[in-house]
Amino acid sequence: MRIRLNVNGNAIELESATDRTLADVLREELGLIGVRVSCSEGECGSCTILVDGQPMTSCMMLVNQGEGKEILTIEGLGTPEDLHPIQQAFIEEQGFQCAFCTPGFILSAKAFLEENPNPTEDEVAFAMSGNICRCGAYPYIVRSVLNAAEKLQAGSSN
Amino acid sequence: MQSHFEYLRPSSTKEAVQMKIEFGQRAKYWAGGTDMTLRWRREIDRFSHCIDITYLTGLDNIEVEEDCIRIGALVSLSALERADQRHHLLKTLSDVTKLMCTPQTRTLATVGGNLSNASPAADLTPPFIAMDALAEITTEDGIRTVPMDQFFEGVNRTVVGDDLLSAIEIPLPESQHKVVKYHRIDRTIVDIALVNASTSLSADRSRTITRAGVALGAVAPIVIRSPAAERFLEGKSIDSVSESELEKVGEIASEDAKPISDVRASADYRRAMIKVMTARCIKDCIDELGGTIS
Amino acid sequence: MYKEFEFKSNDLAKAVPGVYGDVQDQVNGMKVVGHGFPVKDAVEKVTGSLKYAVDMTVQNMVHGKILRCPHAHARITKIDTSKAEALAGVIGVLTHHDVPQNDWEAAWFNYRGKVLDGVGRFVGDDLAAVAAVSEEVAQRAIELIDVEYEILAAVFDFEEARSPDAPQIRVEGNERDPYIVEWGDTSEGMALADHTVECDIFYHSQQYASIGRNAAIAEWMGDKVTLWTSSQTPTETRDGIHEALGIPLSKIRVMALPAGSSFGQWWSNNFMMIAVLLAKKVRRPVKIELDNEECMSAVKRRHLEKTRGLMGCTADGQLTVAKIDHLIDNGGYGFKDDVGFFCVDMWGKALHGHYAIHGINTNLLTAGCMRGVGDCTLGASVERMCNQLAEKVDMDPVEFRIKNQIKPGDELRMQHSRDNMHHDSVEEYLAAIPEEYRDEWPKPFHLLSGSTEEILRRGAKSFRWAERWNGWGKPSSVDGPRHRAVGVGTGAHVCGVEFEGNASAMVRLNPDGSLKVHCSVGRQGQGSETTQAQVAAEEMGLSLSMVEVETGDTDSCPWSHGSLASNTMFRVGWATREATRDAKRQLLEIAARDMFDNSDPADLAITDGQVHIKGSMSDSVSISEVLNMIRSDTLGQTSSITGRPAVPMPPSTTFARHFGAQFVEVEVDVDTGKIVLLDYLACQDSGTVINPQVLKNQVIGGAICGAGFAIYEHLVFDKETGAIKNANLLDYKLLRAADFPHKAEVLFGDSYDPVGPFGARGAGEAPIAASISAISQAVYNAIGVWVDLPMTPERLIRALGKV
Ligand SMILES: Cc1cc2nc3c(=O)[nH]c(=O)nc-3n(C[C@H](O)[C@H](O)[C@H](O)COP(=O)(O)OP(=O)(O)OC[C@H]3O[C@@H](n4cnc5c(N)ncnc54)[C@H](O)[C@@H]3O)c2cc1C
Repeated sequence: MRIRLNVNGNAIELESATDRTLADVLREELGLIGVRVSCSEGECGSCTILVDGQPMTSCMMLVNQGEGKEILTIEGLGTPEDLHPIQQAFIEEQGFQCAFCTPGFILSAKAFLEENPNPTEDEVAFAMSGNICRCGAYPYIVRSVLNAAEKLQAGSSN
Repeated sequence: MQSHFEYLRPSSTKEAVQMKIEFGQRAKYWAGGTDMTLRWRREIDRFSHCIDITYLTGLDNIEVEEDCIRIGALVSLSALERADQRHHLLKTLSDVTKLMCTPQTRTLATVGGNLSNASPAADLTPPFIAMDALAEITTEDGIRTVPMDQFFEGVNRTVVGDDLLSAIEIPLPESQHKVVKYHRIDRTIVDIALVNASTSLSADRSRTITRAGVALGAVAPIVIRSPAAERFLEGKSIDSVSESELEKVGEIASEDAKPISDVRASADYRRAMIKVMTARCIKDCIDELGGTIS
Repeated sequence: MYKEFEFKSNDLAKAVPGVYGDVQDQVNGMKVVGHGFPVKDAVEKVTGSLKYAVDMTVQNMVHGKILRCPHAHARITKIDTSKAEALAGVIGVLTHHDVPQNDWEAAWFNYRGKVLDGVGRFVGDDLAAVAAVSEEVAQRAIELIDVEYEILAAVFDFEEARSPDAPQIRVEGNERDPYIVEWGDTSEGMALADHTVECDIFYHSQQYASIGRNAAIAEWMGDKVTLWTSSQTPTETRDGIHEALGIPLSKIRVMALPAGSSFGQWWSNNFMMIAVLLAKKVRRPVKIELDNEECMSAVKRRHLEKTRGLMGCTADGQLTVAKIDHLIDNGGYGFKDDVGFFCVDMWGKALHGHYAIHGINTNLLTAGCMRGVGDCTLGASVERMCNQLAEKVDMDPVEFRIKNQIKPGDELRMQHSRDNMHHDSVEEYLAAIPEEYRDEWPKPFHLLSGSTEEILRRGAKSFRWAERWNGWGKPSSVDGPRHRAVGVGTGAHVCGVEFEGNASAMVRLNPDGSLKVHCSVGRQGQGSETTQAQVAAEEMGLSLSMVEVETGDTDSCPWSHGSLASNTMFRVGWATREATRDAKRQLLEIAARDMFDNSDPADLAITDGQVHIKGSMSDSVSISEVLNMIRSDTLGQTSSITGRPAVPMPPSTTFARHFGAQFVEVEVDVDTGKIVLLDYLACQDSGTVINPQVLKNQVIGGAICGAGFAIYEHLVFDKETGAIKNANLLDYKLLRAADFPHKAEVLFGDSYDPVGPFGARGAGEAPIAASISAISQAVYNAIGVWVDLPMTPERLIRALGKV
């Protein structure tokens, strides 16, 4: 079936079987390896993407369910030369170790901070619990998101 | 091998039901897909047609009326979570959704899917049963309504058949104050309830409990009521329930539980926890009603 | 015979008084070491562009899938692959008939044996493999392989497996000689004891539960093979292929890629060998990608373990005896038996001791070394018994530890003669140390530096232990069913081992003054590519941006154990520094002769890439100027300089340990059994901290992995088949951000190691052991009952006698 997707601001048309997950298509057809797939059952959150701004586990979406929606993967967030403030904050606080989970955490954080620009630590910890970091960087992930909140606040008041 | 399927996208509720009737057992509705993906991947469900109902309109609203709250089947858990300011019963349901899934699966998962999946451990079922909610089911030629406590037939089986669950209605009885509370036992912050319980109390102006709902999850193939516990509470004043009576209701409820042992917990533990959680739920309800535990 | 070790050429040793110094003193004057630089691959990590093995593809590759054993123990009597081969899209099938019957072992104790030998030893074991144009076709073909099995008797209980009548899983027998550590005479120790306590504790199995899965891609070019995979042990994986296929090491290239959280799971694994053999058979590059269920049920796990034993102490709290039998279940293929002896060393001030460790095979998923192996289990048993003794003599747990735990200069108990040391006795071992190193190497079998004492004291102060601790088995506060209490635990581990060979590294100083380090380590998130670069940059006098590290290509990286046994910073870091020192020596010789008037190279130094006379920056020349001078007699060197360690590293097992001491506050709901962690302080003694950001993350990560094991994590094995029933993250519970105190802090000890690079030692494994014991003790203090691990809500309620 021909499927039309809007990924990271690009309109894309591709041929795909319909019984595939959006995560598989983003990775395998579009080469967006930042969409990490680990548990494939919605638990680990590594495959988190933003769909119309909302965080979703793309391993649980059918490719057709991406149609007509704005899809954002980590590849669409910042570039090495121009990192997004959340990415910058994760580097500063070292909110990762192996980083397999990191794109998912960063996109979860983005959606969360858009709704809660000024969160408490507990709110951040709760909101970041949809992703698993097996390395256990959690305290630094929480600090990364708080740091990012400050950066975004400063950015928006400029 | 997980099954290969064809993707169908109905444009109306009616068309969805027609498609389901056409393919019967071979078709599955796909709402948020958070249960379906797992059932598909683990090869629990085999099907040749997937009916994606997420593009249907009109099923994703929450309406708060004088005499009832109506929650569309396609309301996502995150939308329910955000409805906390709209009604005090929705506040409790919002708190329940916060325990469910993960933020990224709550955006996908739907209320209707949670109920239709008919897991005995589902979080939304006990509060809906406790509140005497009704399932609104769309059929090929109309609508039928079923009380939530008659909605389930067994694990992953409901009375919906080839029809479609379109909404859940929570009746708000006149001149009574109705509250609902929920407790569950889980391990980490994201978990399926090992066992759960919900109670709803309605009190009139004389502070008498006119209606009690006690629903217990993960202690039988379907979420069950404890009629004895409900009767024990009905007719009491919200200011007269004592600590020992709380314990007593807990005990009554735990006698109604018929749990099994599995990977997650043993039957004995589940029964013991029903006692603790029922008592905690009732205490929370009485607190919200402004009563006091004597 | 051996005098105390003095580090001759380390100018820092002089700046640091005694063994202890202040972290600030250590990093004073250091430009790169001791600073919390972001890790080198940080940008790739946050932009999602870092490639793990699952992301790798090579041109023309096909996909492999593995046929897994449906039985606990079975021999293939007939295998018919014709239907599978006939399926459109199938390229070829590999069975045990195609596999050389060589044993491969590579990373010791996670022994595999033959890649495939026609016997399945647990449900999920590898039996055959298919290569096809897609994963799906390969999977369908797997289902078309007809196999007839002879079902063999199976045994799942490791105590039953010890019986001579039990089904034998391996030709070597289910149980081999125990590993024994003993000193003194335990009956004397018993006689001296005023109090004794006993234990009989069973430990469930933790799963690595790595996020990130793994894949292996093998490609042959003629008779040479390249393997891309995520591995912590690049050179050992190459050795494994060499053993399994019997081909020369020079024909094997392993390109180890970054791994998701690994904890020992991705060393060298059998599926990698299968990929190599399958690719050879079908003459196409083959990728085998494991799904999450395979990762959790068919690769490895932590051992099931059991401690039985007793410990005793005098009325004033001096440990007099430890007499312990510890069983570990190795599953189908492992043969580890030496777990946990670092906790034995840590508590080695006990006057008399006897520890016997028995490794046993069963028909369960094979077990392997997982982070803190043994120290998480045997260590937890010893800590519990010590806590019980401390309670009997009414001593504070911090004081009891300080009194009974090892200090620098004390003897290490782990002296048992063993194959790994290649000598029959300690005496023989000592006698075999080369003459020229006797005076230089640290005193063998004695702790050289570091201890728990300083971190316990400073940690207790910072955690306000004295105020918060309310006595043994007494909560610090009670609010309805909610009891709060604090606990402290300690852990130790080696800093790498030399059992299989010495660590090496190579550096290349390029003509532009940049430096490349080649060392065989893993990139599973522990930041070694950065910390090794920091060591090299500091030694060479370069900025960090001028140094890059190649960790995974075995064609350029010399041998090391890789990243295991907390080896990387201490042993590989040592090699990296020595290699850099060697390159620097060569550079300064050229510079001294040709640019500084034949002056003494010892008078030269390098700062920020500039060679200069010590103490003066005038007349400095850049490294690239030195290297770009063309002169006939040094042409070979002037293009680039290669450095390698000029001396062997002292055998670190005989003197180096790292330590953790952790403090925790918990709240226990005594009606539901649920434990909440409220506050956390993790103290770590790893010598000099090369990169505080990286080490903090390691320490807290260890604490969280330990906390998971303490309260939730355990595999559930089917009683009938031994199959794993919770090989998924829905029912194998991992902690998440809100499950661990996000205000957790880390405190570093001030010790300095005279051998380690710039004073550093190992790091990764003490923290996980310490956290398990700290949480166990805190829960005991909250409820007055010891609960076996994992302390799930249900097990806690049972321990309280409420169900
Ligand atoms: C990581 C994770 C965590 C979870 N945690 C929880 C938890 O804490 N508590 C909990 O209760 N559940 C949990 N779940 C299960 C699941 O998310 C919920 O049950 C969810 O509400 C299901 O909704 P859905 O829209 O995704 O259903 P789907 O997966 O789309 O459908 C579920 C079933 O219902 C049927 N169906 C869906 N909609 C309708 C309809 N309108 N009419 C008739 N049939 C219909 C489908 O055919 C299918 O059989 C979790 C799942 C995951 C992946």
